[in-house]
Amino acid sequence: MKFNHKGLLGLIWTITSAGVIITALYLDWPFRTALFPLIIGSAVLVMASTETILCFFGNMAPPANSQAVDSGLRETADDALTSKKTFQAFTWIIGFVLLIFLLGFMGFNGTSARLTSMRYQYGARETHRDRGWSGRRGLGGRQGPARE
Amino acid sequence: MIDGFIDGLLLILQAKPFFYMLIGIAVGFWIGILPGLGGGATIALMMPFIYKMSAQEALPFLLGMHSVCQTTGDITSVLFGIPGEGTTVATIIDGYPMAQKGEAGRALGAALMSSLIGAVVGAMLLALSIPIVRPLVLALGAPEMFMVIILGLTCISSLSGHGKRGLLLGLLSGGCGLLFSLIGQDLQSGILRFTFGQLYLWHGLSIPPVVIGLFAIPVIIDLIVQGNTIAGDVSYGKLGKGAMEGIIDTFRYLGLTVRCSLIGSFIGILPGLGGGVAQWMAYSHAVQSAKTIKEREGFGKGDVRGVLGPGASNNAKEGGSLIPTVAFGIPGSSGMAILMGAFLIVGLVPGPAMLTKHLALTFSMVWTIVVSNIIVVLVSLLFINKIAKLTTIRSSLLIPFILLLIFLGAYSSNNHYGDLLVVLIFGALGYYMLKLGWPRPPLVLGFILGKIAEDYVYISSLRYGITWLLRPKVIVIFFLAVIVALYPFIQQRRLLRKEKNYEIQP
Repeated sequence: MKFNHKGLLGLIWTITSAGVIITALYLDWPFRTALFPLIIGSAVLVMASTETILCFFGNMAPPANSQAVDSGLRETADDALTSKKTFQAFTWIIGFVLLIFLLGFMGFNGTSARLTSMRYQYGARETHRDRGWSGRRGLGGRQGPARE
Repeated sequence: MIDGFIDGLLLILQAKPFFYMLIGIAVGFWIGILPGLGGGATIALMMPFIYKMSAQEALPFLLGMHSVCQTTGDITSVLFGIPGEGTTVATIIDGYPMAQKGEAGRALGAALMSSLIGAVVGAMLLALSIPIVRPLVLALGAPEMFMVIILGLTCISSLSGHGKRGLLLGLLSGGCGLLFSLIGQDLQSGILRFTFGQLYLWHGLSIPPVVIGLFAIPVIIDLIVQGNTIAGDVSYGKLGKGAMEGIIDTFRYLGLTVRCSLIGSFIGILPGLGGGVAQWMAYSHAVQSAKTIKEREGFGKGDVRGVLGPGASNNAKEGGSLIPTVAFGIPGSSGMAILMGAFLIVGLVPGPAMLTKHLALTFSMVWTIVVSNIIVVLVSLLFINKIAKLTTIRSSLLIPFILLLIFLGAYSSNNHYGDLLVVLIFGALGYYMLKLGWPRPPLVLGFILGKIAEDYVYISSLRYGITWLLRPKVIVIFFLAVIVALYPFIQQRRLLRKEKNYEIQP
């Protein structure tokens, strides 16, 4: 058995679809309410369990990221740094939403948009400095390495 | 007929209707660019303004606004990877990678020109097909419509990934989308399903937060991780120059653009399916048009045909969905249903009278779609270089602004903070799907079509019992779906054989 994240996603869907089927069967729903969840739940259960088994026990290697016809993420050289930055990005976005919850959109426009933007700018400044960008350039400013 | 056609043009060229159309175009332009707010919602918002207008003024105003939303929605999709409209999601798949490669101008040129061609084809079809389309719409009952949905889902699932595993992942992703559509009150019995005691979930998940989360959050995270501009390190001068190339691309692949327009018009004619389906069907067709395996693998990484197909179909479907709305009073989409309400406000009753007594007015709608799209495409092309350079703004400035737009767009669908949570949850799901190579398009399509499919299954079972599965048209569409599922394998084998022969005899 080989553990991988792809199999884990398959396993989550297997459990979810099983949950849908069990709910549809045991909650005393009338036939018309239960019909569609049963059909879809069963189909997803079969497919998700197949995918999970193939990922955990099969010999078939999971398809690479590029194999899905979908716009992909840009490649990075350092996986550990990418994971760290991804985590930071998620927490930053969650913080953004929390501020909207706390202050509302009106308050958000006035206060927290500026606060969160400034906080992000502060965090991003070092990155930009490394790239040679000038901090003085605004929205319409020309990008690229600073001349000074 | 010809008199009505010319009268229709003269009607919208009068000062007042033309002025109102321009206002509608201006509103539609910005609404299309903003993520989340759709053309249908905008018509609803603008409805109070038409009470004092005549039918000749109100229709150019509303229809001009609605039809340009699809066109400008492509701009946001291409530049930022965020769906400007629910119906412009498919444009992201290849449009955004093009922007990342520094070809934003080319992608925008292609999207705008294909949108214009799509709008013209859709409008022409509207003008020509009113007498022909009636038997077609009436021939498809609930069982056939359900099978058409299955056909659409199979189409996008089979083309979303390569190989046998790709088909499995595509279908699984579509199934997951259908599972999400189960959340909320069951329309047949009123029983709550998977709402977990939350009032917010009674009406199910709304499309804008789900789509915005799935597609926009991964883009934001990618931008933060890269700490770069959207266009990366591409030279500044190259960006806006591709607009003409994009326009030339549209004419280079004119056959594909017209075919995708026809697909869009056909889906538009079928009540209930709408642009959400049309764009993916057109995208699938664009993928099918690949002549080599390498070409096919280029989709999703910035192939201009992936922009042309959805761009054309989105606008063509507007003309198509007007056909059943005007002729039979059956709205082809939610936007058209709201537009039908506007018809009644200005004293028009959809039906045969629209093809006899009000024929000039009906043709004025055809002309409104064409003229408004010409205007918006010309204006956009004038500023395309400036627009494309938005991709060079550094991420630290762009991200807070885009995030605010994303959350405002999502929030506007229900005016509930739950929408923001939905964006976050689907954002995380979208990111991991992308990371693990699961295709997102089938999930979106499954989610959009879930409720409609359930209605059709219920009506079919109630009306025909289990025998609906044996109806000849159902069987034919089912076999079509099987062929569509197998087509990528057949095509791959054929292309492999062709390439092998080519290698042997160069």
